[in-house]
Amino acid sequence: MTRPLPGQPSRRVVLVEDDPGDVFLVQELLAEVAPEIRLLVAGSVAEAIQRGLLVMADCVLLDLNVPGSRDLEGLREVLQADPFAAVCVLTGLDDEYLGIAAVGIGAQDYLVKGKADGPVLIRAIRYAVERRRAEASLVRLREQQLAAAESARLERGLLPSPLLAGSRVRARSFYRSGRIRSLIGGDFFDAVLGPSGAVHAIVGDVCGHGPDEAALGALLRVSWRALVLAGVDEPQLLSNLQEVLVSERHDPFLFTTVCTVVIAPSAGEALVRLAGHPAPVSLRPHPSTDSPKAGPPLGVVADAAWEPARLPLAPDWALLLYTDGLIEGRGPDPEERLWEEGLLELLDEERDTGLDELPGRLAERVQKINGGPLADDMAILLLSGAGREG
Amino acid sequence: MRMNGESSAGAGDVTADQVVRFEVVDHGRGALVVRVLGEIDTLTAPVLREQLDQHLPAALLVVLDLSAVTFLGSAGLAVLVSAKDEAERRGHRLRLVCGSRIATRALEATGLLTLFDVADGVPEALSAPR
Repeated sequence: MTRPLPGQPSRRVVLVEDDPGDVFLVQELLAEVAPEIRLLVAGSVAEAIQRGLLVMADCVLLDLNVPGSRDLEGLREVLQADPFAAVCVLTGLDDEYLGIAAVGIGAQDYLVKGKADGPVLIRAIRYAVERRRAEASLVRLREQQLAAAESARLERGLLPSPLLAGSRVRARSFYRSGRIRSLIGGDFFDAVLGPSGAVHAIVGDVCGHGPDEAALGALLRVSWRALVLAGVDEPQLLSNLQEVLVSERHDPFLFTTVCTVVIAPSAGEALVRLAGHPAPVSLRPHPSTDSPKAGPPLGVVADAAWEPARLPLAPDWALLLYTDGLIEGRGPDPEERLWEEGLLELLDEERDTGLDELPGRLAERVQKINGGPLADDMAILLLSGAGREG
Repeated sequence: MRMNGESSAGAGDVTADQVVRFEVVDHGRGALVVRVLGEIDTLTAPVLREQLDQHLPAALLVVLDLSAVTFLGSAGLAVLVSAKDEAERRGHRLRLVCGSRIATRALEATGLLTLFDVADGVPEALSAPR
């Protein structure tokens, strides 16, 4: 329902009144103090609704004794037709109590006929309009808050809980969406114990930065988890995931970078596959990245193959998987990005930080070096042998 | 991975033309060189897309010179992938000149380098067979 913006004078007032004398009186009073107001007259509530006058009105002046509406029935009909109508009711001297009751069920004000002069009438109209606007704003704000809370609950439900019970691997993570007022972005991560006893982990990044990309990221994560738990052969996982991406993406050129890691039960080595994604960092004995050659991102080459690289794991191993949001902010030299080299230096400086605190600490330091919040999503997944300290 | 919105390092109220600019030179016989200077990130990738959308239909060969690019993020890479596809669909050619570690690194790290027709420099890009 379109109404003038706050601050504009009320232009259209609908008077629901069947007494020609009272109509004339209101016309005269308004003409005297507010000639800019256009008065539209209806003899009954039914007529006002039928002629569509309520939609056009900034304020409704309603006589409680018009034909077809006894006592408060007319007011109820008006508010049913337009819940946000700013209504001032007009009462006779003998039924002032009805005016009070009318305010109780949604009228903005009541005026006693014969007592209201021009200034009182125009003030009542303007106050009614502004109060109703304020109420409508509060209702909208409340609706937005409820919608935001619902979205937050939904998004929280889409964030992963690694399924590693029964394995000898521990996972810690950090996640931050680059989207304002959002818990989830296009980055995703997960870690699950597969049917063969190997631990599978993934970190991925959907190219893009909106709710569609966030939804696609969540879908890819859940699809990957389902494929792993269903026992799909590890070499087939990325091809299958690419099929999901291609069938679900809203833009034919939207791609997704992914890093997958498989840790055998013996934990002597990790199998790493990169689809256009940064390589994981091995933290032990000191931070290093043995970059295997990346294959193309998912969604770019139809028959792509992603060759595995074998990464030896030290007895006290810890692996850091992350998305590019962590390394593409400004580095210590503002002309340069942080990149992998900067991340390795940071990790070296943080070698005494416990593994439980490390993901959050890294995010904090990267943001500080950047000189403010990072625009991109950021996902960090830190895996280690279960015996490692926090 | 940023696509459109804020600048990659969270630059806030920066406009695209403060971050990137383009120099276009027509070399005749259907060949055009588009030189990119600055950052190709979330904020500026759509501007690169506009440039390529404008020139790819008209030119048989578009040489995209990335040697003066100071950042090439995934938003820019997505534009390059779609531009390559668009050029091939028209029977035209998109050729990249990386010319700096920045562009090469971005394409290598994402496994996209082998996908593109890449030349060492603009003269080589223009003289190579079409």
